Amino acid sequence: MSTKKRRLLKVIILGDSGVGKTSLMNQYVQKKFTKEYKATIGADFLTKEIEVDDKKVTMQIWDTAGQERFQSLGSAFYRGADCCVLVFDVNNTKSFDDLDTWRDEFIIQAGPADPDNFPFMVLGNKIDENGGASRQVSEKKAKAWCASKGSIPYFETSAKENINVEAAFTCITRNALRNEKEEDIFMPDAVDMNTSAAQRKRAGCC
Amino acid sequence: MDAEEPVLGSAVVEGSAGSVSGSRSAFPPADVRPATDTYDDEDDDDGAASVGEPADDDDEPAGSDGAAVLAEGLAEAEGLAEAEGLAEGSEASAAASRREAHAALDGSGPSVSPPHDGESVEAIEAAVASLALQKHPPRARRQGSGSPHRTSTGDAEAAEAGGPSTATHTGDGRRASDHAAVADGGESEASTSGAGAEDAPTQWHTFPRHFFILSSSGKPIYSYNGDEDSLVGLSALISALISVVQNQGDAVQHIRSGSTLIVFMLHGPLYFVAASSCGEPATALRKQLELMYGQLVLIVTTGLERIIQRNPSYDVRSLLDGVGGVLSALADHMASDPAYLLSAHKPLPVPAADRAAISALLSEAVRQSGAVYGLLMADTYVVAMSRAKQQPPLHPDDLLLLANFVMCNNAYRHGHGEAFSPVCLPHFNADAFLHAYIHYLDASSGLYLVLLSGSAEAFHQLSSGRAWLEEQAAVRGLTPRLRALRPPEHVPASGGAADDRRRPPQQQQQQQQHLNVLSVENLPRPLGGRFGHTALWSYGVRFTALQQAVFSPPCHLHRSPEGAAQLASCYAQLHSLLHSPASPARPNKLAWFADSRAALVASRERDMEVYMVCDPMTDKATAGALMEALRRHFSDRGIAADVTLTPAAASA
Repeated sequence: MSTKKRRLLKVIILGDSGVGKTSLMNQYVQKKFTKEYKATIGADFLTKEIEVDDKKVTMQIWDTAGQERFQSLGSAFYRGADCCVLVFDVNNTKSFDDLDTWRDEFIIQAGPADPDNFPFMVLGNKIDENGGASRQVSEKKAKAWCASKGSIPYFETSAKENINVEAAFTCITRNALRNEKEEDIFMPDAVDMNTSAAQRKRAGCC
Repeated sequence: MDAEEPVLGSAVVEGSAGSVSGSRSAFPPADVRPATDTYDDEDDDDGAASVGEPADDDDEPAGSDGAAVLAEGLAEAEGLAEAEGLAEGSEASAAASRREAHAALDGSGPSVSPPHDGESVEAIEAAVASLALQKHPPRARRQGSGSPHRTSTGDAEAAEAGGPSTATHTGDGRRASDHAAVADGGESEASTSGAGAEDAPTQWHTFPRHFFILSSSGKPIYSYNGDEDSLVGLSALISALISVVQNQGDAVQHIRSGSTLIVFMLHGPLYFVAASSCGEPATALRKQLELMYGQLVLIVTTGLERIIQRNPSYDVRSLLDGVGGVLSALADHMASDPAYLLSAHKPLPVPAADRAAISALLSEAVRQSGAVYGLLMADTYVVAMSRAKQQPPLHPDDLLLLANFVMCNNAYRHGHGEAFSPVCLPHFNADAFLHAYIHYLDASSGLYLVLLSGSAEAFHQLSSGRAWLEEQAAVRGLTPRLRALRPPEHVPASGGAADDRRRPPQQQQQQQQHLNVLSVENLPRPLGGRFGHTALWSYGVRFTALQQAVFSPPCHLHRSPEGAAQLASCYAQLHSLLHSPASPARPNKLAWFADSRAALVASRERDMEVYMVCDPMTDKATAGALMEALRRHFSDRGIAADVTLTPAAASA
């Protein structure tokens, strides 16, 4: 890789509808938060340029729609992803239970070469809500799930209060960079003149 | 069709029969005089619209063949959800320039109104508008004429100027982020905040043509304008657009938004996209994309695709350092020289006796050195070519790509030496390299020799073959005549006239001498004559059996880069008219199109295709007579001998 070029990482954000995927992203990229909820339709694409460990990185963030009926962008969504962020709402047990489904879906669609070591990341969002009074999923429970899936890193975040957002994304970037595969040296064949004459198809001039 | 015409009317998905179609804005509405003389004499019964049916190449020939794979699904609302999704996602940059579209999309969750056609169309429009916006330059700026004649551009500009205040919340936020990306990517460009962020994307709009290459995972590989780093968001959007249509078992072919035409071409995991507001028809842009793919293959072979298939997240740019320049040079070339459309060799006019002599020498050099192909070229023009026994003829596209590759590398020309480089000829064998020995016989005139071999060890053999050729040419007194050869300068990038003046008068004369056979001025009357004395401005002739084509040197109208681009787009339009029959069973033999800028005529006979660009006042009868005269002229054996390569010489 040319040293001048920034590295490009494709980051996919998955999770149930309303857990705060878009808010996390907006907080991270634009340092903004809004209470208004607006469902993401299809996908949003955001880019963020950062420097991690002296490496310049461009993050291409695919913020997906959580609602099932918008799950139709097809495999382009997952294809070639460098890492996958799973988000749930700590105040919503179902969104936590669904992480399994999201993870499986990603592995099926993206087909990473080594699913067990693919850089996932889990974010438990909305820890600020009601000062934590309405919390349904404990940190312990979440961490246990992450550990059972090949020690996925876990962060508790609040997009609203900007808690842990930056740290989580930095960690994501590091993990993705670590997982970056070096491609074999590119060595195409030379033409074998004994076989290539098969292409004699056109008469006329030359 | 009318029923489905979108309310907003400017961004339109052109589909196959039955899908949304419409805006013919490629053609100036006021003084269009369209008609296509097909066999069944289809004529202009209802004005401008008629051109769309039999001949308008902006459409795929409606329902005529497999082209029906258009964005049909997209336009036909079955895929409403997906369409909406795209539109919403893309609003990142569209900046909510269309409130209506927004209204349809904004509803959160269940409140989205039930699907119906119109809404889907609007959704698509918004998506398209954002694509177009990213890429669409205000025409006025490009052409220097001050009339803003497209409302959608106007809207877009307004939204741009109005900034966040006109945008809804989401639109606003995302837009800002997109801007930031653009500004950041440029690095040298202004800061990411405030006005700086607003300025950066504006520069994108000043470009009338865009080419993008991306991988199927949405990672950018190449952009004609600017740095592909700044396209990270856009390339994700493009890949999502393509994926939505693919999900429906279909393939998106092209999208029209106002005067911007966006053409897609997929090669396995490589996506090629062209966006142009220069008026080229979709067929021409697709051919350009195919050639860009070929250029990529010429440098890295199809091994590139295999790598991405194996590792979809691979960032291909690491392999392609420096390739961008070659691709951009090809794009520049195609913008000003329409010959790429014809898939034909372009022989440089050379007196037949000289050509025979040098061709004989080249054949002998090829034989001696064990090369598979030998080429003597000036720019993209062929002086002589030869191939080893049992080798297929070189494909004209391969030759163009090879020539572009050689010309892009200044070291070949000014290195005063010999070069040896692996190249892949896509039509010969797209999976593997040949080895090219490249040597400029004359760096000032740009005359170069290429010997191709299958062996990486062949350098010394090829080199001695070249030495023998130069020696023999000198002995036979051919060298000065070869050195005097000049390719016609169709794109005087920095003022061709000045270039001429720098040259010694003697050389100018010689240049005249070998090119004047093709110049309109020197054609026999009434065909030829000085500008204004003949209706003929420019012509191109394709010799079908020979797979060769000649074009007249540009008249003074077309010597500027703008003029050359305009001429090239005339030819593209004409070529597409001639080659997009209403029904495949009845190919067009004659095409006629006239507007305020020029009258275009083309005809196809068994042995020859003739293309003419004439004074706009030309009537059909005059044009027909000129056409006949031109055909007669080039059927003359003596003339054909000077302007074409004989099959024997080419394949000896």
